[in-house]
Amino acid sequence: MTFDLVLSGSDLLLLAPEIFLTVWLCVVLAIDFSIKNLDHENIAYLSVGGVIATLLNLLWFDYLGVTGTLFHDMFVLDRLAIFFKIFVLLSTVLVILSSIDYVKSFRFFRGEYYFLVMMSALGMMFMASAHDLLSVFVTLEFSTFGFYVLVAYLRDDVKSNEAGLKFFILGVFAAGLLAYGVSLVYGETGTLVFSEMAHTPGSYGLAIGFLMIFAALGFKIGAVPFHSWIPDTYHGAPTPVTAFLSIAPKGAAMAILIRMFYVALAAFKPTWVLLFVVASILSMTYGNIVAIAQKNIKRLLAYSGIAQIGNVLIGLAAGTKRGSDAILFYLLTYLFANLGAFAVVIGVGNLIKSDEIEDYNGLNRRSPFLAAAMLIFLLSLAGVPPLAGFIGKLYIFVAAIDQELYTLLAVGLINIIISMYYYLVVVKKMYINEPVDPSPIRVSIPIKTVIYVGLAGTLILGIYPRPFIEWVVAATLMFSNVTDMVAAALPHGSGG
Amino acid sequence: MGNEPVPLNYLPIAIFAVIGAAFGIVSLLAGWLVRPHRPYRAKLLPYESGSPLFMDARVQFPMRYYIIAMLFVIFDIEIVFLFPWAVVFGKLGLLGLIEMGVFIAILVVGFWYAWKKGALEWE
Repeated sequence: MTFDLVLSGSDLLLLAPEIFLTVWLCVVLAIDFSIKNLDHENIAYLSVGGVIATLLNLLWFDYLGVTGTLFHDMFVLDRLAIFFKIFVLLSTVLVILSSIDYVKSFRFFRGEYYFLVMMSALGMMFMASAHDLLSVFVTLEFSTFGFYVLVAYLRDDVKSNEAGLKFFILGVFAAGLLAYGVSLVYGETGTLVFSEMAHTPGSYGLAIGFLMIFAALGFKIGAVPFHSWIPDTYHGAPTPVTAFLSIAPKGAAMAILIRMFYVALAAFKPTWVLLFVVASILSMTYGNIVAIAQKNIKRLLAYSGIAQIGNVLIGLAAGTKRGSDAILFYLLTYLFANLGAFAVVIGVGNLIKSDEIEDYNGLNRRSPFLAAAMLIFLLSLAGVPPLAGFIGKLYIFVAAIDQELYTLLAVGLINIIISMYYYLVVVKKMYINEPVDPSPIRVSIPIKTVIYVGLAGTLILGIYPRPFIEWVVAATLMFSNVTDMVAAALPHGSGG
Repeated sequence: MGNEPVPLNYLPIAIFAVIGAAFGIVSLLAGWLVRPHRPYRAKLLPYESGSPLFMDARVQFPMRYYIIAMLFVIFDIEIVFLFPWAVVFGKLGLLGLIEMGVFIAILVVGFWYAWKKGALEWE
């Protein structure tokens, strides 16, 4: 391999959002430690400003249609990457806004919190662009390191420490699996770049290698059977970190999964479809059934997240262009409903210092706004029309019907009914049960903003989804020939 | 590549693993069979002819050592990157210089942070 380090101005332009965010987060850290007695709220708004600027930059790139690759195809900026970067940054903005009140309860390291959140977001932006197994490994670890610290942020809280330790040990184990899988794949194919793997013959080494990489990414998205860290980590981590962990890494890891299976492994689709069917059925069923027994709202949302990821995997099991469209749209609906629900949990938790579902009794009397918002978010998560979740589920089931995956469809529909039960139990507690302490709950303006954004997203995506569907269809345009590639590769590519 | 049956490909590794394990086991076993068994206290110490032990190595030590060690690692890694960079510096030209400047600037932010937070103050 020749050694060159050629970078032109137009190449650096592709990296502009990442470079800007890097400089911004260094500046935010420097401001935090060099100005004494600076209120951490200013740091938060400064961070939000930087992230929004990066977001606008990406929207502009999307509008202009800027695309390209960098560093020997390790980094790719296409519309799929831009979609997932916007996804990650949108969730980062909402998470920072909903953190502001929570961070007040930290005794130390308030400014560093925002630095770490942005650092993880930066890592996930690179994940969305990873087009090479080496960059998959580096960017995945980059984004996870920030989370290791964030999960264990409450130093005096045993639960937070336990959550951090569990997350760290299992995360390092997943990283080891990933590295080993990458080495096996490299040994079989002699390349690390996804697009160059497309025409390799199947072999045991390739199958085992990709199975290990799938396990590592399955850990990241929390799909059964790699989910064991999720409940305890979500429970123990500071609630805004749980919110962040429940959405942004899943999106970024899904970008890698789509790229890996659609580009590198398109020829082996009949084999890996089975993998996703199994993972999807297990995730949906396990997540929904165990969620019924939960007493803590964070744990309930953790298990519901496992089930939602099962729904998302239906799209990968379909393995078509429509499947990938549906995944992107579903993740978008999940972003608003999930972060909105977490914002309500953070708002209530800040005041009553509890996340038990029992303490949501009579929330309607204490704050009709929070109860109504939570109702809409939970119904969207369950998939009730006319909310966003309904369109998302419809889209993903249509993708499954296209591929005649009727078993998966049946399991998915049964699971919607199961999920309806535990979401509505929370609704019943909020609206019918009597509150123990009827004092009103007020939430601050930043959290209200997040809830309004979540409500707006949930309603607009549900009532007028057309522009967003057009956007996700455009983002995955490069996969429009994916089924043809499979048909062309079928006669000699049945192994693996 | 890849189409040959897997077991044959990995046979040398298996043989290597067996020989490696056998070497360790056989030499330990042979030593145990041949040597005389006369243990006494001085012989059981980790350093038979060194200074006597005065405490267990597994003790608590101040967190400060940990922070200093972390700072050391940061600069250690900086050196790891600087050496190969210095070797090919001629070929890299101005761009290489700028890139290393960026790298060091990012490190300096971290170091500056540690300094401001009092990581270098001993008391």
